[in-house]
Amino acid sequence: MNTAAPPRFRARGNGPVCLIGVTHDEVIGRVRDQLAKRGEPHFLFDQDRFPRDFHLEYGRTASGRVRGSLITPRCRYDISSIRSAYVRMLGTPPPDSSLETPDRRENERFIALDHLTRLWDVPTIGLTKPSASNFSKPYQISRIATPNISVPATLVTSRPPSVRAWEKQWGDVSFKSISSERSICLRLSPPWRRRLGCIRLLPAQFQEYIKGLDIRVHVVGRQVHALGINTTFSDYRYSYRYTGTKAPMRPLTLPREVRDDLVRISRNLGFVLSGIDLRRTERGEYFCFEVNPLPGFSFYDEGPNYPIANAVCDLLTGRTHV
Amino acid sequence: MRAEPILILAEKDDAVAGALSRYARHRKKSVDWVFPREFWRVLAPELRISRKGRIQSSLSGRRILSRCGALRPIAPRDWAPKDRHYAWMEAQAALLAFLAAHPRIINRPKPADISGCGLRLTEQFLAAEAAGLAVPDWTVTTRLRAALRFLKRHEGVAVHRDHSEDIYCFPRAKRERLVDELAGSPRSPVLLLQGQIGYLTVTTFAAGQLWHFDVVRQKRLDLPDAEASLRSLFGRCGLEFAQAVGILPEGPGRWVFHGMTALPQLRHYLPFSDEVNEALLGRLEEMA
Repeated sequence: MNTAAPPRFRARGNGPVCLIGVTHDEVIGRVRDQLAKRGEPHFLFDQDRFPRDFHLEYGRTASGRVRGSLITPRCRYDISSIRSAYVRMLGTPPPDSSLETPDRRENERFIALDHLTRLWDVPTIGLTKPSASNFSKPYQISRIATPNISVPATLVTSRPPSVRAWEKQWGDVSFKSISSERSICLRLSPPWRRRLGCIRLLPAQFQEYIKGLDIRVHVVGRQVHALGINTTFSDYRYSYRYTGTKAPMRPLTLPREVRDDLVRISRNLGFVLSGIDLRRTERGEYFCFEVNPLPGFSFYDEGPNYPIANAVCDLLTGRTHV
Repeated sequence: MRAEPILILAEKDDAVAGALSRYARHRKKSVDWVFPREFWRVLAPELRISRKGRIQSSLSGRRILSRCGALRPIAPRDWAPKDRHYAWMEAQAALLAFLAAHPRIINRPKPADISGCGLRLTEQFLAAEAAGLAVPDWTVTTRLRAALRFLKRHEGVAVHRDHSEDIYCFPRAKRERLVDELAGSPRSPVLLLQGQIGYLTVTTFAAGQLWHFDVVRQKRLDLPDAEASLRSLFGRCGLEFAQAVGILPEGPGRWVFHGMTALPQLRHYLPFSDEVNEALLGRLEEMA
């Protein structure tokens, strides 16, 4: 139960594919478009309109299995008829925050849906198991190093002198959030160094700065989609904010052993689909920074036929499996 | 070499931590009690992760009993309102990373649950059933019609608003009250449990031992049928200190599991607290 077995994913039957998320999410939109193009039956269970217009009912049957229905304004779908599901709920509260956040109804709503996707036996892409969380980044990176992929040396501390010593040891140092809250990964420059005293209140995560080519990888089942990103920013995602243009990206072919390790990392963390941030040094070493279980892949999914969205659809419809 | 003091990580008003630290001092054992929010300020621990993922903790010699659930909200004086949620998330994630990596700890956190349980109530029912325990019938719904159908099947229904810990019980005869309750917050999902008649029991599990207590009649119990299944359930969840609640029918019938927690409450095992403390201390000492 606590040691996650690598997930298996094989769509079943010919029923509809269920998408759980919001209509304005570009990723959901792209997968939906591709399913429609292929003429595959599917429906969106709109997280924003649940439980106003969308409903659910589920429970345990006498045989101990979980059965129930998802009810949209147009149709009622028996869980057992669903071929596969892609769950991409946005605004996900962290599991432990439920007691503390003021909007309890919002949490009840989320938890009811989350429970269902954890309990049902529908082949599901998305964050469905508690073991699959990247709620704590240091926790996650301690589990992802492989023979061919390292992780940046990391220090979590609330002591400024330790950071100074760490900087002496590693030269350039960057820092970013510890939790799954989005933050910009920044270099520890003089203005930030002057503010180091703040960490006495709250620890921070410092990492050796790895120079090299940024690579964004999406693992979809056993497929690896890699893009090299040319940027001078320590966090390429924010290049657009500062320059008005997206950092140029180009498809890359990674060595076979690295690809195999990436699939292994993703599966060992319990993910069928993941977004992985890598950097390749001039010496050809690979470093992994983070594995995202809910990748917003539409940002990277360029080129003819949207290869990532199509690979996701292949899994959802049963053309491929893991 | 002298062992470092045992570290209890618990809130100020935690009765279990209080009882254990008093007991340990009485046994001349050295104990530090640190509040989770003060953890980084008081102990200033460090976590280092090598390029190959090897973790090194500056407190690795400490044996820890963690009583951490969700951290309490960040104090207003420490953070601007816009930063409070971020600070709270960061504090929680840092503590989780530290405790999950610590080599000597009772109730190691799970990636998504710092208390170490890692299972929500409906998942607990499935896990308990898989371990061979009887569980109540349950359903989750956003529809009143489904709730009423469920009530028809059972003598009574308990309405559980997840994470609120409030359970309201409605016997079938008070059907209208159930309708009012569910209509009061329209379409908010609720978990309905089959209501049961019997005695509320609490089982405390500490370091491989089990103590059963009948809360209603205030007496020690034996539950030989459930013993092996409960051990298996706690074992599969990786818990060393936990509590399960259940219902023992008045007449013949099986004990029915109704939930569990990785944060046992002292009032549910007060008559055996010395035995439980002894088991916990013994386990912590073994870790040295």
